[in-house]
Amino acid sequence: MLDVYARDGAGRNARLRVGERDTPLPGMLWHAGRLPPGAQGWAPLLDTNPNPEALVLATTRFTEPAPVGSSDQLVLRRRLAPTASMLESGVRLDLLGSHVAVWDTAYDLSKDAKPFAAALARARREAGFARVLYAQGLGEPHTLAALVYAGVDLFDATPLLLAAAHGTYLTTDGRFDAATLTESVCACPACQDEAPSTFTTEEVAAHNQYAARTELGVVRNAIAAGRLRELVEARVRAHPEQTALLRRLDAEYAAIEARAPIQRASTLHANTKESLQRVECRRFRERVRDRYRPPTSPPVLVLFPCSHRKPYSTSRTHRAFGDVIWSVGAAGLVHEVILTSPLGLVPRELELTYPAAHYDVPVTGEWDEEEGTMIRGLLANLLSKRSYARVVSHLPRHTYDLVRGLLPDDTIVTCEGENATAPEALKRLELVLKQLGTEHRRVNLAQLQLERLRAIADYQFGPSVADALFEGAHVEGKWPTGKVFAGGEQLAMLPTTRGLLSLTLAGARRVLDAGAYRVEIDDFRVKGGVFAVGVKGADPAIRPGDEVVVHHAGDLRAVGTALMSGPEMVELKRGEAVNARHHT
Amino acid sequence: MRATTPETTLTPKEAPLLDRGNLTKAIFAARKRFEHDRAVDPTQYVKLWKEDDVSEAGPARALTLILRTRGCTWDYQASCTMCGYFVDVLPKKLTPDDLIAQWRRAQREIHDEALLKIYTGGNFLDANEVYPAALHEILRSAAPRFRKITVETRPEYIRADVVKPLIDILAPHDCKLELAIGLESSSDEVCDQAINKGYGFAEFVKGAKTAHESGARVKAYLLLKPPFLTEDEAVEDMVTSVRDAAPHADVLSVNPTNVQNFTLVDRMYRRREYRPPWLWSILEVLQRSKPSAQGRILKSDPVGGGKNRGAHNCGRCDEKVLPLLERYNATQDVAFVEAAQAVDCRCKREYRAVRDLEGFLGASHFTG
Repeated sequence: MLDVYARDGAGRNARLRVGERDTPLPGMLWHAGRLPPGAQGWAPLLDTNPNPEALVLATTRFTEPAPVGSSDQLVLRRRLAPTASMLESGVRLDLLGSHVAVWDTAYDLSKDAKPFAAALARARREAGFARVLYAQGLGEPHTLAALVYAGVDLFDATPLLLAAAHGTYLTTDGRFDAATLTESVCACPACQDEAPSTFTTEEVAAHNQYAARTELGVVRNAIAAGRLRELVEARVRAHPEQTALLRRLDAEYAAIEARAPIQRASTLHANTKESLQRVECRRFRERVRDRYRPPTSPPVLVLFPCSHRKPYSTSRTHRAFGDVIWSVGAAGLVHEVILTSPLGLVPRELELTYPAAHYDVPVTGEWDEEEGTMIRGLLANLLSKRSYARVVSHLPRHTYDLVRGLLPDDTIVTCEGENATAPEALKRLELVLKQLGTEHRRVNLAQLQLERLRAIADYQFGPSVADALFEGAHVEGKWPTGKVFAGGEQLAMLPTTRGLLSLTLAGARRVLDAGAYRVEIDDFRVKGGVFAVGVKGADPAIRPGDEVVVHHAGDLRAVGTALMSGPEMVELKRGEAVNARHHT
Repeated sequence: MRATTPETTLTPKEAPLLDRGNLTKAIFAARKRFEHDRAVDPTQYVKLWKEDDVSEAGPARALTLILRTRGCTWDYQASCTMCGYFVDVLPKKLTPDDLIAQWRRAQREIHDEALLKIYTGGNFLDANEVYPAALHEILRSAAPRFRKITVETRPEYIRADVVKPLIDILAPHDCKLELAIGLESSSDEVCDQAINKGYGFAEFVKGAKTAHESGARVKAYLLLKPPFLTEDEAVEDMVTSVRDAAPHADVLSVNPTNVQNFTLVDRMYRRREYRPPWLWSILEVLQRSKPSAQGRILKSDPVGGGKNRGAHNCGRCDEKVLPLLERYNATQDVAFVEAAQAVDCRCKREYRAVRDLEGFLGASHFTG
């Protein structure tokens, strides 16, 4: 039995029940020794299992018959089989029961980051959602976070024991020669604040296992808190091979994106070069590029810098910008766009949407080349989508220099220096907007609000669904909230906390007819939640956190928030798939 | 047996595991980069050397000659995972005279060696490879000079009508014929799925029986650690194989796998999927197998011993272990094996862990 209860990246917190035992996942198989008992030549290095509640692992030689394992033991039966390099993809999965996919070429593949990342993606995809992915022979503490992020659910203690035999003391910072550690570095029961240089092989083995167990707890906490990626970015610094693996994993974008929640409760820390390529950032940039359509009415584009505080509107800087805009009555005149990293470009209407309202980045006032390329690419894309009567750059000098080549010749620069809130810069912005107000027609604010909410719908559902949802609609309410109506019926609302539209049943009907974000269930009435066992089909584009419509044979049954990705709710037999907000 | 469930959506496995076609394909893929030098002189043998050896009568000098032939017929059909002898063959028609000319050149090097070993990278009794005319001529001129002549062959070529004429040539000179057969392992599973040998234990037994009935002696070559076996499985496989083969052989030679160029083993080695056996494993096999060898010669002469591509330990203790192993081979006194096992080195701990844990690292599936 497999219960999944939290997701982050391609990782997940779950519980695997084998016999009478619950194993928390991500988890580790500890060694029991070879079965049957008393077989020659085998003695576990550590006879005390650091987690007596956990499943344990035993093995036979390939020549030995498979013994009958007890309910808390998984018994490996060796066989002679081609190595990873002899297989086309390198990946070979075997099934244990219906819940565990054993990946027995993982150890060989782990030696080279490039094929390994591709193999991880493939193994996770082939194992599907309903199976535990067990990467045999992997489990050193400094590798756990990244491997879990890639989708591995289960590890084993073999590499911990092998390292101990080499006198290698393992921590989340990597591998150390125990003999050189003359200072105590750990207070686990095996170390008890003694210096590892005095340890026997058995003591190093015991520590290595405690270290792995502790790190698995850290990883599970990170998944629950939606902070796994931040943990991974910190951990991979332990060794260049791990950093290389993360970069290669980011290149396997589709595999991880397919499982990564659409939003997380935590602040996204973009601390590293790799942060730029993380799923949440790349997904945002790609949706802005591919799905998002800018409001069509405001004649003037104003470019602003980002702010430390999120959403931007709540920051001192952006409140100052807002004050200027309101003071000259330019709200209906301008389309505000913020240039930033790691998201590239955030239109004001998407500033509440994850991760725009949830990221934190070390501010140095400099863009590196990769950030520059990304910002320029997205701005060029925006300018290709519609033309503006005028462009106003209220960007600090270094950002303006970055993008000036893309801007029309008659672009007005209102910020001369690096400080966008300098009184003279704000004054200049005020004068320019006042002047432009006399030259260009303002759009009425209800229309602007409509276009803003529709832009969110673009981002959320894609343009065709957005058009269906907004056909003949009008909006009420003042940014950053709003409600969408048509024919006297409410279709959707924008809650400030989410930055995505929440649908009513009427709105859900429109999305249903548009044919996207649909979850098909067996013929039953939905009360509160829709459970995976009742799901017959689901749009593969659905990610955990997405707004979805639930139907049976085209008959709307509910609307709510997906708790799983589309394929996951089809494959899993347990757990809540959709948290229904409204039902018919 | 694999526990599969009907609802599986796993993609089909990459071809049935370990079927002959698959392994053969992998073996030939590994030698893609190799090309034969066809300009080689067909009257020049490959190699010749002299060494100390041991026979039933005690230590003796031996001359080993590698003849150049068209090579092993099995190698053309399927080939073995560890065998790189094909690099020394001449894949074109050689005449019986070419082979005799090679022998004439080699003859000049004979001094006072008592033992002669002639290898071809193939099968000395394969009439398509070593023509009977050449075979008979070589034996005729060698018989007066040596006490024993060893040649290697797969068991399918051992027929009474082939062997008896050879005995008839040698017997008048009191020279023995020893047929060396690469049994490799008494496990048909290992021969088939790890080596691609093409025959099993029953064929070996039959060949050995024919050899003995025809008046030849039998030497069994056993392969320590073919690919795909763990170190631990390899040791156990050897101990079992010596026990199984001893009743059918006069000499048992445990040959640790060495990494020969352009073989599948070589490819795996370069991808860090294969490590030649440890010297500790050889010692354990000899020590444990000595009783079951029932007084027959049991030896192990690791090719490339102490080197990365041959059987080796950690590099610190190899030079202490290898001379003791050599002494054992020459004297057959197991005390030298035990002395080698008593060599103290910290790699013993790592070796122990490999024995215990390697089986957990891959190519396994779950039961229970």
